[in-house]
Amino acid sequence: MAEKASQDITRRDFLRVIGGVSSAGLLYLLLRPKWEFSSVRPPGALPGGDFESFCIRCGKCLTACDQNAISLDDEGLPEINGLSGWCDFSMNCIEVCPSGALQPIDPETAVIGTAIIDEERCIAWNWPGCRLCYDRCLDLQQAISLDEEYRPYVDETLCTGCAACVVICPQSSHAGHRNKKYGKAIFIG
Amino acid sequence: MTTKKVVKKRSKTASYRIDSWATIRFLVTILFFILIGGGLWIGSTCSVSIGSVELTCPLGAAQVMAAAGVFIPALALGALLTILLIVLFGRAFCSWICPGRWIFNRRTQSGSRFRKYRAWIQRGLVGGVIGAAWLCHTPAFCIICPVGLSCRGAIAAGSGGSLFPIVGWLGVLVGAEWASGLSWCRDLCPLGALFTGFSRFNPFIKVEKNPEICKPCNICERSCAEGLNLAKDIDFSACTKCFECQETCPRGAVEIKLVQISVRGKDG
Repeated sequence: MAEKASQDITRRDFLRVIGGVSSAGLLYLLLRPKWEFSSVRPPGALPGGDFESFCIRCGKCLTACDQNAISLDDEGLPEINGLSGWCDFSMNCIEVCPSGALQPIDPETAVIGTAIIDEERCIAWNWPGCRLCYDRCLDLQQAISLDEEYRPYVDETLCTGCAACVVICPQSSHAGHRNKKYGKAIFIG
Repeated sequence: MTTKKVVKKRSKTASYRIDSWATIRFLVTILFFILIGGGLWIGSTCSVSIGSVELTCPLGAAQVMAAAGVFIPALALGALLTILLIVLFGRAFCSWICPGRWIFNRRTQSGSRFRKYRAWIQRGLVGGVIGAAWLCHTPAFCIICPVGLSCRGAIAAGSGGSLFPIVGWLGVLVGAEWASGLSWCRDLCPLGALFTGFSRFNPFIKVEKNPEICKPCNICERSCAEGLNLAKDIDFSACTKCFECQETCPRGAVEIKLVQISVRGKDG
């Protein structure tokens, strides 16, 4: 009898734990704070929610990237966070994607985001001197220009969001869309 | 005095047994993850390209298709090829490649009632996982899948990424397993449940008792991670081909049937 009773308790506990874990997981997935911060996805990524549905979270794009630009966020989705590397639009990640979460696009016109300079943190905006992002972008897109006080500005029509400026900026943190207001923004500084 | 001596002797022999199946399986798993993490192999267990052939996790493919609400032919083809592999090799993935075997290692006995409804529980697990993906519009189980987590962890470790979410999710799973008092691999893993369903059709590398030698001592059941009993059970679709039963059988009654030729176990 005692054995039977303990078995029943085990099963009830089991169901409770499974229910608790799965409902907590579901709640987290449904209610997680998407409005504060969202990641910059690799080129060719489907928009927002579609990308989350299509991505099988295999991490192939991460291994395929020559620049080590892609890393994984909390849910195993690939993101370009500007800490390890920048996107050279080689489209290696798109070639290996098995599920079509990254769709083939034209590397000449591809845009994954727009750099926005955080004027409170930018060194050149507060103390003149730093022009690392300007020099970096000169080789790539010439999207960053300096004004007469050597403060950097971003030309949004030229910027591809490659995050090379974020990688080189000494003040930059995790790149991402910080707010819905800014749209596809990668912050420098 | 005498018992102490015996214990010491046993531990000494165990440490020198490099040819044991468990050691080989562990080394295979480690090698696999070094291949993934070192970037020597583009892909993971979720999806891997071998030449022009692409293998995809069937549960992941089903979840992605349920979440996206679209039929994706490339994923479906990869999943079909994987299912073909499961039919050929059974659940060998679970003990040879899956790191879950080393992360979760509960050798609890399953209750008789639980065993009675196991088939339905397994169907419920697979259906629940696909249903959750459909509800959330996200392959939800892929986020916490221990195999995928370990692969992503290996890739992140290889490329200098953060291991924090991986360790966190694995901790949650180990905690859930511990709290439920069940074994993840045997009772809770939806992947294992799905593989069991397909490995029913697997004709190769089957363990079998030699009925002339076997006496139903149930030692094989205790050694088996899936709780299979060679003396009693008829359905061995849950067998993960770890050959622990062959090693532990005191009478050497366990045979491995390789299609037709049978490999005899240790002499009793």
